Amino acid sequence: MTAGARLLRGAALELTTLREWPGVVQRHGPIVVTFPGTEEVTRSSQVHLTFRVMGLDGPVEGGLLVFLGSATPDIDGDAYVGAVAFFTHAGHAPAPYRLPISAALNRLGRAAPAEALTATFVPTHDRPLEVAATVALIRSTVARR
Amino acid sequence: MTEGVARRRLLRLAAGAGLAAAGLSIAAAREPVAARVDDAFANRPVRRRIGSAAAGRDLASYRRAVAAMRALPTSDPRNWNRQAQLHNEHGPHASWLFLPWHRAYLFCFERICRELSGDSAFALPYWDWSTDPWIPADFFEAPLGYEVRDGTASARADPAFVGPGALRAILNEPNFLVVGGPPPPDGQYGLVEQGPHNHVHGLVGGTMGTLMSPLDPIFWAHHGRLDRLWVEWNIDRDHPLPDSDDWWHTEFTEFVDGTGRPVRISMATVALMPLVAYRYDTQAVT
Repeated sequence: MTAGARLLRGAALELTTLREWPGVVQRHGPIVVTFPGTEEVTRSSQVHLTFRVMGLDGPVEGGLLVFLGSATPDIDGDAYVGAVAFFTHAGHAPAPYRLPISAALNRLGRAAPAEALTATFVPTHDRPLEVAATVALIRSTVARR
Repeated sequence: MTEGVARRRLLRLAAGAGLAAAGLSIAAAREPVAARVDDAFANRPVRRRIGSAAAGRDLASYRRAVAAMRALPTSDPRNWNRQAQLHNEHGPHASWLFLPWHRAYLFCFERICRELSGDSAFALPYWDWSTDPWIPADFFEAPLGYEVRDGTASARADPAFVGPGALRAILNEPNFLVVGGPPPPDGQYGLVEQGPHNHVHGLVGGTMGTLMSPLDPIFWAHHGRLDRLWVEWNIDRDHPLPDSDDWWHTEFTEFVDGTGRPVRISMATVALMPLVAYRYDTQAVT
């Protein structure tokens, strides 16, 4: 099959939230959000962290570095999940962000389901922010026909 | 969709929209059509990395085009401000239309540049912030410089957002709904938008931090790199686009061609553009 024909076939895509656990924010410098530990999250290969950032008014430079646990920020470390940047427009509320975290969970070898899961949001620029975050168990399907 | 349906869709497009995207006309052909088409596809313009020796000619043409667009009256839809206004009024963000709309936008802008620069082989050069994290020097000099900007020559794109690890995370994610965003009106960033896209807009700052960001000539070079990332994900890595009628039935009608005439661009044409109308200097599948 040519690249063009394959490209136009596409695939049935699905991104369904099966369960989600809202986090509780603890504000001490970096923003730390704690989620209940569950075996479902530990075992799943499709876990996403979704979050909104409040306190962004007008054009804002910067973003958040996201880590699991409360480790020292190191983007080369196992706990690093990813980075998101702000881009706010007048009249438009900032959209929610999404980061897959299963790979980081696996790297950390998180095996104790009773242990609370924490995510740490480190602003790249010093400004007051609030984060509302949720850990979500996802069904992500990519099915070529 | 069956393979047969996909092939028929491709052939229809190759005979129509795809050829139009490549600037071809079967009716005007004097040579065997197949040879003309193959040559035109193989020799389609190449979008090159700013900083490479081969991009110098395109940058020179880009300067002429920007100056010419700024000099056009506002009654002309190709006028520089009118082009930026398109983004302000129609540009979708935080949805799966983010990537295709911006591809169509760049495609038509490139056509306008080609017409107004007099360079029929022009292809939009792109800023590869993943390897050259500083704003290119060409964009600090007229006419590509822009006064309403925060980023200086020392401002550096952060590898946390544009470095190899960040791009690898995007390229390895197989679901377009995660990479490109969900169908509207859900309103959620995809990985491309929330990472390198937003970061570089903020890094340059000023007007680039607003919906009138295309007023800054660096906008087009930035979005070229984002489009290259989508090409790498979709074509080189062979991750699929949605097989959804809502996706494939989308049309963009707000753009104009190089002469200022309105155009209608289907999603299928948008998807095929990097295979028939232009390609990137790094593109593996051509």
